[in-house]
Amino acid sequence: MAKSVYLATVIATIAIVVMLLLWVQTAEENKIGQMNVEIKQISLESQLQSAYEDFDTNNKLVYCTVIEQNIKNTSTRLSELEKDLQSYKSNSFNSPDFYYAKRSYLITSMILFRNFEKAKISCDLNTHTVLFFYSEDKSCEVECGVMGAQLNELSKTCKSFRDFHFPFNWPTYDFTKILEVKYDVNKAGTLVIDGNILDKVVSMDFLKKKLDCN
Amino acid sequence: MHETLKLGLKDRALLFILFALILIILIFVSFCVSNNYLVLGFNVLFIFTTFFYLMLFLNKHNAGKAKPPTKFPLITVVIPCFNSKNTILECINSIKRIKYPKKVNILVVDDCSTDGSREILRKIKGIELLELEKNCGRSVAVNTALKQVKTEFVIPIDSDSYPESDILMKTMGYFDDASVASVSCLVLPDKRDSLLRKIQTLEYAVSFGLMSTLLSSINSSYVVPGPFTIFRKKVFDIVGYYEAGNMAEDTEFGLRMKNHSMKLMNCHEAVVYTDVPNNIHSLFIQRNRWCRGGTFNFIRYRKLLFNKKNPDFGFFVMPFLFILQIFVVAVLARLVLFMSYDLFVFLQVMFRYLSLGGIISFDMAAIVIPPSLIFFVAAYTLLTMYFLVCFWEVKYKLKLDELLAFVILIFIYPYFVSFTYSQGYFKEIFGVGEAWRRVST
Repeated sequence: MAKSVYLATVIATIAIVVMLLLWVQTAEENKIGQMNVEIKQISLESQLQSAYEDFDTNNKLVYCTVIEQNIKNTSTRLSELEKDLQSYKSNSFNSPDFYYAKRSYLITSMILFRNFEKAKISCDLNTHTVLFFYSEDKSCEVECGVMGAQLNELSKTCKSFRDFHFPFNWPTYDFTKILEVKYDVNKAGTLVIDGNILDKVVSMDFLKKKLDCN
Repeated sequence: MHETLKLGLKDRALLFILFALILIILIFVSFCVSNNYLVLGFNVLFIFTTFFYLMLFLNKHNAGKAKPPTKFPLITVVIPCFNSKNTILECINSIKRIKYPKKVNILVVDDCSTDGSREILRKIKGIELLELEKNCGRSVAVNTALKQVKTEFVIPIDSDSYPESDILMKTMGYFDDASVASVSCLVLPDKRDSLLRKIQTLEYAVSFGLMSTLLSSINSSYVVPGPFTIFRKKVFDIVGYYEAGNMAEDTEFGLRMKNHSMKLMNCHEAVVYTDVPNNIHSLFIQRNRWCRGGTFNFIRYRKLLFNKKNPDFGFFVMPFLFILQIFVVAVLARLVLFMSYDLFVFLQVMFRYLSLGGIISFDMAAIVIPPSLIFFVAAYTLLTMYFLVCFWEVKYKLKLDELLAFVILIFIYPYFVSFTYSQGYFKEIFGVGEAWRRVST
């Protein structure tokens, strides 16, 4: 029996697979590391916005221009991050790192949402707020898929709203629960537009009208 | 049409249970871990198999070389002929051109041809002709002739095969080893006039070339290809003749020889050319037959599994090949199940999105290269290396116009073959399918 051949084959296979796994691990660590840096940066900027509001709301012209620009910028970056996180989740081997990054992302997203709500009042921003509660499992694949696609398409052309996406009933993170309770969200696939619930898929025209996108 | 042998209910149930078990495990794993781990697992198998052949090559790099004979025993070539008027003459001429110090007898069995082959054969000098009264199929035709052969060696050869003139001078030396029962050689398509034939040429150069040699080097070759295999005549006296009605009678015969612990060798420096399918439909039928025949015979000869008389074959090659075959079918089934579901959801989303006034815009940034791709890259790199080693070893010069065929062979062809195999596998499980039909080789 060609024992030496089998042994050499097993060793060579293990060696190459371990090498590739290490390579993939390094690449994934770099990727999640970059995402974490970006989340941290956005988080810091959002905290700075909160701080500014406490001592500089008298100079509204400068404050509001900066804040508005900043919120626009950070929410765009956040939405890119969300896509990156989603693709990382479905393509990576490293799930624990994903959940830490997702948690940081959700905290940052909530800070930004809160800042935006405050800025809307203090700066009289005429922008709609949309909260989208989606599902992390397969319970809302079609409805959530349609709503997500609609918001994604609208956000490319319509600047009159900011959308924030949160997973419904996320098992390991209860901050989102506060929002669910506050807005009485009972199921995945719910939109909250300026505090009003919309728990079914509506037409693009209806959404455009609701968000003043025409 | 001839009666086809089919598996019994118990064997089919066994096959089905094996398949269902692997599929259930795969689906269970799919729900527990990310798809990446499945991709990883599949590629590990792929890498392991390729490494196995490469390591074997490094270990047995002298195997499969030409061995000129020291003795020149008498040989009879047996050609079963059924409606082969376009090829039979060239087949006989190519045998007559074979260089061998002694006369090579040619015994042709006409299996009741209706296309005028019989009339052509009657006019050919220097051959012995047996005429069957009714069409009985290849196995019966060959068996009829084999029973009349008196020489020490016999070579059954398909009527659409053309051996090179030095084939015996390269192979007969293998029989200096008294334990060798048969020697097969490199089978290549006789024409390379279409993309499909070019792909098959490269495939044959690998599978009937170095791969067969390497398997035979660890006494694990189990096929005696129809286009050209030299046997000691006594092999048939010991194990019997070809089984009538078997869809892969050469695989069955090879496994039967293995069951008698016989040594099957392969010489990839000796070449025989044969006709191969030139359209997808014929190729599909041929591969379906190979798979069904292979599955049928593997199940029937399962007693060879873990058989200590053939340790490499019984403990590694056969279980590995058998499990791999079912595994590939199960992976395909799982892929189809999951992809159908994903496609169903995607179409529902798109339909509702578009019907509600949505528009489609393509976002390049949404394209993500998954890290598991690296495993595919590694597996395909190894496979390419192995194929190039095979071509180099059988002295096959890859031409520039064959590069496309090579790319298709590596990246697309395996999926086509897996699909045909899957279909053949299910036909065998459910005992359905067409009767015996021999397309080629």
